Amino acid sequence: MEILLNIAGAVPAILDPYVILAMIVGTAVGIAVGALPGLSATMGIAVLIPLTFTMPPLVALAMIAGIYNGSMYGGSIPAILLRIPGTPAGIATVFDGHEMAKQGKARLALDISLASSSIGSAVSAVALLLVAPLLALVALQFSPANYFWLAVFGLTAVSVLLAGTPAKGYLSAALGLCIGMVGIDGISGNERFTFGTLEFLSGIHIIVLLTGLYAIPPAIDLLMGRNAIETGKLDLGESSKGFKWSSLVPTWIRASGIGMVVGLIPALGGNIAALMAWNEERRYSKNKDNWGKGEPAGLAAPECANNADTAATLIPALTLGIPGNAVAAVILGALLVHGLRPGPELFRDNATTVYGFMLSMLITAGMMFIIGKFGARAYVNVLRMPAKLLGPMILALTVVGVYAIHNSMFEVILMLIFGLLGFVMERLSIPTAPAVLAVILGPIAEENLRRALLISRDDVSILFKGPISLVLIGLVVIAIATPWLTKRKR
Amino acid sequence: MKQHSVEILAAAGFGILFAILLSEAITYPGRSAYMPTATTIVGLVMCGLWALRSARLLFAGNTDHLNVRGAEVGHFVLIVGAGALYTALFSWIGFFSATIIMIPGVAVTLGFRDWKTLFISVLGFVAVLYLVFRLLLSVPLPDEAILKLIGG
Repeated sequence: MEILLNIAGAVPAILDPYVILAMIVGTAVGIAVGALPGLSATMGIAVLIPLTFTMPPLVALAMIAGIYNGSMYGGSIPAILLRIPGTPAGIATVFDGHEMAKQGKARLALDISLASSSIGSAVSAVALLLVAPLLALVALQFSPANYFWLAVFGLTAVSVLLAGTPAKGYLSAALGLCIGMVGIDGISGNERFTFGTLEFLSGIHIIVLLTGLYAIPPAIDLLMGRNAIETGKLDLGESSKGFKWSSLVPTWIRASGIGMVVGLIPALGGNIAALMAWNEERRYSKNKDNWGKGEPAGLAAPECANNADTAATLIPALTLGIPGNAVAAVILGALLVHGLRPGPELFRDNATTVYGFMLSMLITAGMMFIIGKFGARAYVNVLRMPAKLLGPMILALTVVGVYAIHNSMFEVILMLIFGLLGFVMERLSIPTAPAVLAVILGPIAEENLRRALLISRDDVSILFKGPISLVLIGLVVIAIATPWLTKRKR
Repeated sequence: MKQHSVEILAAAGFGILFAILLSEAITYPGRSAYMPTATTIVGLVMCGLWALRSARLLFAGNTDHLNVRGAEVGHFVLIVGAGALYTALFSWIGFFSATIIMIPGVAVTLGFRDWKTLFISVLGFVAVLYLVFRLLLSVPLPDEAILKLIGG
């Protein structure tokens, strides 16, 4: 009942004209970002966060919700028309979506993708609205030791699962932990990793790191012509009139479920959800032979699943402060920028903002349908945007955005250095997500470890007491052992 | 360029970084040292494991090459140079003036020759940035050299 009251309490805030405008702009920009190969939701949000610095929190978060939802659908546009997934989550969309386009049914394919994406996003947002507050209540019972292990688990899982070589994942996490420790230690007041530099005393702003790691490497790739595409003539073909939409309802139900479950698991993302949904749906299909040859359900399933993953990913991020993937980490960064500390207290202390944000995930799912439907032709033209112009524009946006935070050229230079570091890490197959997650989770782990040791008067055994800690330790062990277990199974 | 040779060099580079951080971390007093010391040790160990794995693959005859073309290295150096110059110009002549120079400069150097699109895009983009950062958000950006010249 309290949840419903909180949702109702956030409705007036979400109906503020500025919030509505932010959702419209965010969704429209998100679809365009997703449609451009090489650009992702993570990158779009990372570029946007500095720009939202001076906005009220809910306006900023509503815009981010729009970008997140919109970009997941946007990724399907080049996947369908050009056989190039705009985002990693659009990989499975290529299988049947592009085949439909080749058969002259591009318009129908885009409509199926749009409807499926909107439904997936909406279902996921409802789950977020209902499940997150309940999980937050449970999380309020967590002890400092539980929180320490939770942070360790989040970090271990992401480091192991996102890297081809576990050593590279842990290396990235260690780098992030060191970056997160730069500045004055909040508990003892000692300086750490500042090397006598005055600008490091207040630490490295998370946005400087996020923008550098996620916005600069795609800009460099665009300039180097790595994501160059040949659009040629793009024909949308016949309209979707006469299509039996009700035939996709069972697909949407199953795919939404898969997307939500995958979204809850750390380190898995929209691409895994989409591939799993496509595969599962094929198992249920009566005409398996048509899969990969333009089967509408083969397009609806991955698109619904990758959008159902979006809000579900935010459930552990908002309630426990544990982001499961890079985009959730970037959104947590946005919350931190606006003075909102993720975790169970967020739901108690900033109910209107957090419920408003969750509602905006739901509303932007609907807006995405309207904007996508009427702007289809415009978004197809986005594909023609010259990469050699887009690259420098992203660079200009990130530079001015980061400068706007503290009017500091030092932070701009630091952001560019992180950008180069991110580019080098990508080339060496070192995932950047563990580093970002470590910047967020490191302080949580350290603060709670030291708090637990303070309570127990330096008795380390406190970390191994209680069922929640033991379960989390078990999960950490499983996460660490996963690469070896998988190897042995092979 | 053999991938694993590059990876050994990269692991050594990261290893040196973690060694410097470790030498700093062990000097911190009391509990402030726990996390930095543990983290940098983990980082060092991982660099060692990464280098060992790459060395093993290299000696086993693995000939994977880094997916880098010669022209890309040139482009990369150009992009990094342009980024550094843009940052300097940002302070010296102002953000909007620097952007008006940087975008066409980079695009043309990389082979973009559609002058009409270039002109419209740059002016439109800078106008939007001016609207957002100067008029809407009132961000105190460095003085504009071009605006100063025309008395702005």
